[in-house]
Amino acid sequence: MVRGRTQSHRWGGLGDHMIDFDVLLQSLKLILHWNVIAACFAGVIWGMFVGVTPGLTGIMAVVIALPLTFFMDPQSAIALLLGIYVTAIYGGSVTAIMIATPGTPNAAATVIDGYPLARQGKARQALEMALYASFTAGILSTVVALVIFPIVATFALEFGAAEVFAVIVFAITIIAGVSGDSLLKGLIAACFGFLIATIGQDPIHGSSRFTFGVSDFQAGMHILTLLVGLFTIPEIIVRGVEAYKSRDSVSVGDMGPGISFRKFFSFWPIYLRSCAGGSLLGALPGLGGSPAAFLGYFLAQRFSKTPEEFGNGSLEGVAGAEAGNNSVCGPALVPMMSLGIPGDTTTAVLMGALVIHGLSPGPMLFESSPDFVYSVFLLLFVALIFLLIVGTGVISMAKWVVQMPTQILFPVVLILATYGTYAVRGTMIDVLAMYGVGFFGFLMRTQKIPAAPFAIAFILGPLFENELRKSLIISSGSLDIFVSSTISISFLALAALSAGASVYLHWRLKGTKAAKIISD
Amino acid sequence: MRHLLKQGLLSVTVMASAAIFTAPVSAADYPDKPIKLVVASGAGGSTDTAARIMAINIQEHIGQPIIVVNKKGGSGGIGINFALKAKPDGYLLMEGMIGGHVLFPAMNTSAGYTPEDYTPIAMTQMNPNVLIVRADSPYKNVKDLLDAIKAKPGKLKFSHAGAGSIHYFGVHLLLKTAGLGNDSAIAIPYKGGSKSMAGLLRGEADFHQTNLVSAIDFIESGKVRALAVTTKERLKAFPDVPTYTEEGYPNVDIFGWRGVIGPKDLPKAIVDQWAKAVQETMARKGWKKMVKAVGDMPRYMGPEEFSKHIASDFKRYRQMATDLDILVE
Amino acid sequence: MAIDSVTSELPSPMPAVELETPTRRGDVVAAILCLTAGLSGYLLLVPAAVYVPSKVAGTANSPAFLPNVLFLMLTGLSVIYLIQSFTVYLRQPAQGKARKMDWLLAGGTAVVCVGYIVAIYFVGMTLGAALGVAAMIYYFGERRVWLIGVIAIILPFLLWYFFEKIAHVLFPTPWFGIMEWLEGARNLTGGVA
Repeated sequence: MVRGRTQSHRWGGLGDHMIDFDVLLQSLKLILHWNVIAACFAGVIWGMFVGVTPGLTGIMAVVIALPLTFFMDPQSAIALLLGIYVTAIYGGSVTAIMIATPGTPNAAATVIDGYPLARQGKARQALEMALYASFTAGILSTVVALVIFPIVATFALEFGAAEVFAVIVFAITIIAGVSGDSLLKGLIAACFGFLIATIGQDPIHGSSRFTFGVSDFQAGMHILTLLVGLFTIPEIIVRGVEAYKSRDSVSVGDMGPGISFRKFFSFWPIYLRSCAGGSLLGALPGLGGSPAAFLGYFLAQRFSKTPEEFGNGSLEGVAGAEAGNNSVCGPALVPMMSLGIPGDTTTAVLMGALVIHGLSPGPMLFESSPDFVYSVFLLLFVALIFLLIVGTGVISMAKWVVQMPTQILFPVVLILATYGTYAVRGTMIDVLAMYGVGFFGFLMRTQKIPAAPFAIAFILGPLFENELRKSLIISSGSLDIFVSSTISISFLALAALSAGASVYLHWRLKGTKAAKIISD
Repeated sequence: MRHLLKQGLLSVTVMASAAIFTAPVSAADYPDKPIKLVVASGAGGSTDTAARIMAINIQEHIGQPIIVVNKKGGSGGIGINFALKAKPDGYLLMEGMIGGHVLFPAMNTSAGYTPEDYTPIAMTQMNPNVLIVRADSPYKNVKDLLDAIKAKPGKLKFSHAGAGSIHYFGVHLLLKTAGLGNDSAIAIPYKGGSKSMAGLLRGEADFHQTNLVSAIDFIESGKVRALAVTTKERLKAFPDVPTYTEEGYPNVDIFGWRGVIGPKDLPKAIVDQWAKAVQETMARKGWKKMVKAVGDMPRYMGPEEFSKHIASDFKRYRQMATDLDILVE
Repeated sequence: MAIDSVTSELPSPMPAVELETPTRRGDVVAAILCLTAGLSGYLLLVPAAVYVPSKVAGTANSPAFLPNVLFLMLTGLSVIYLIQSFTVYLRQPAQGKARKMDWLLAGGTAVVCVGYIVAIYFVGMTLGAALGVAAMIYYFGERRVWLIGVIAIILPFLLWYFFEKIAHVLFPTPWFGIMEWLEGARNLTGGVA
């Protein structure tokens, strides 16, 4: 057919050897210096500070730290950035849970169940669940990445446009899972999300769509603009009405009890499933953490005994989402280091730091300095352990958020959300768009049109379109390309299965529950 | 560390004195406060890294701290439009890049600016392009490849980093120079240079023209074969790779560049002061070493030469965008 | 994110907010709006605002292909939504609770938000935040002036310090350059001293 499958075999040189323990030992020596460990710790602290402060994004944490790394030795520089990298993924979920504001796109799925839990006075459980799930999945996925680094490097190349397209199609079936009671309303929301994602430059021809000559529209809507608008603004409006009516200072007031080790442990299948899904998406270059979070959430829901709790405060949902997005961090480093393809902004900065220290990512990196490659993964373990320690401290400090009266908390959140939206790209258009989406999201919410499908469609839409059209160009318009490899066939089959199951479930529920939504 | 401390102290002193001395600002006092250097792309990218390397090295020569500010989005259009609205007082400049400053406005009449709307100060570095195929490809040189395209037009594919990227224009320039039509090879777009390289490696595309820096590792490891470079002379690192001039296509001299650019109507005194400082900075060993680590080649062009280069680049790419029907109104 | 009837589970007593339960009439209106969006998108928006290069026109690779498919999908789904909700509405047109008050209050919040954005354009990010947060806290029912004042001073200052001084984010220049004027005034007094 269209492509030369044999290409990947030339990467077999890497695939032949598995983990090399001598090199691993050498790399251990590289990182066991006080300055490397201290840099990692500093990174975790800094990442956590920025992550838990709404309005300050993970990207910003990295940008501010970047110039410092120029003056450090390569190990310390990477240690610092890895510390930030790992914490920023988790840090975003703290604000998502406490004030319905995803601090990073990774936390988009966490807000769905985390925030309702906090409103129910179970903030501590949600925060601890998120932290422990992040830690567990982070460790698991780093082990995966470390052990099969050579294989993953090959694996990433196995996924061409058609294969990635099949994975995206599978991921899109998540929409049915998070549509709540009405599949119809979920699909309508998804249409809107997908359409908003088409604003800006056409991915293939570069021509503009729906920009109306405004150059700021050319870049399209930023994902954080959309997430903050969709989740935070409607919440502020609703809480405002509540605050106004109550007049007295009201607050949730309580963090509730923590999560028991037994409960944490009882969710082990969730961590494994999320980790499998997250590692897969992480190893595919350029997908990033938020699709992985949604995939983890979806898998948790699909296999849950209480799927109806999802969306109204399910601990399993938080566990699935957080395990999903943190499973990305180890595997995402593999295409970055072996092919020089960064998965997201943070990995791009990591790559920049490697380059400036003369360690240029690419096929030569593993051959020329395997000890360095291993040391990166070892540092990831160190960073995760620091994350656990610092995260525990942060959870105990989150108390003041729930004690703050609604009358004060939500106006402050509004200001922080505005600053955060502006600071991502530095244009007022983003702020206007954020409020626009916010008011639209509020109207959606009053009619119970779910926000999650809107967000997923927005995140996956551009990937879907890009891979679809690219595949069709490669195949000169022939649809055969989607069924020309086992990988794409299996994922398309999975997608069909998943979609069919969702529709069936909704159909069966229709007589009982769904019909009531409209007639209520 | 000590270096940092010194810088910190310097900036504190400078800021304190800036607050005290308040004589009206004239060119003679320039600069009397920190200068912002806008990077119209994301942190950690190659342009950002280039800007930061320049920023830390040039401080001593310009006498003020340089603060790098990222404003990314819209192929660079957002940051550049922002920086162009600034007062031309020399306290807000841009890291110039071929993508945002030339290619984007060349293919977008609604970009909001053309090279006439900014003041080129100095080019600092360039990055030649290189035409590559996979190591197992039957095409051993430029002629082989072009003959194959000629033999079966519309069959061979090349990967590029999006319509309007240098990867895209570069191949089209080659096709045009060789007298082949726009559709004689199929363009497959990827999000960014590294992914288009992966597309070539994976076998989705037959050839690819990219920045030397993106290809260097793959050429050295034997995964791809370089057919030609866009420099006038052969590269020291790859003495076996011919130039396009040798292959009979001297017009294919496309290369990426970075430099310092100011807003429109920037006073000549400031432009000259900066150009001189850039020249001094480029003589520094530390700067050279870092730039080479990033994969660029130091290349100085003064204000006039740089302006001319940008103007001719813009003209060329605008023409190509029109020919290729990718010009956006 | 459905957070329905969460209010009743809260530890502290909170007034019921009737904004998040869909009404029958609301569904009909929403369906009509979605239908309008789908149709006008397909018929007006795509032809006007999507540039299609001639060589890909009409193929799946056209920039207009997916927007068209999506707008048509939206139209189709909206028709089903409309039929469904309208049948239910015909059966029981009466509405349950009066929710006018809640809607008015929500609209008030939106007005304060818009005021805040306009303020940013006029007086800049920092002063805008001070005004915005003060107005919003007041609107939400807090009447202790000293508390509002403290927050309106400390919060914008912290944000200004972090974003301007540490993160080097460039904020838009306000139409009324009050901050610049203030800075100039400070310099002036500094010069005198």
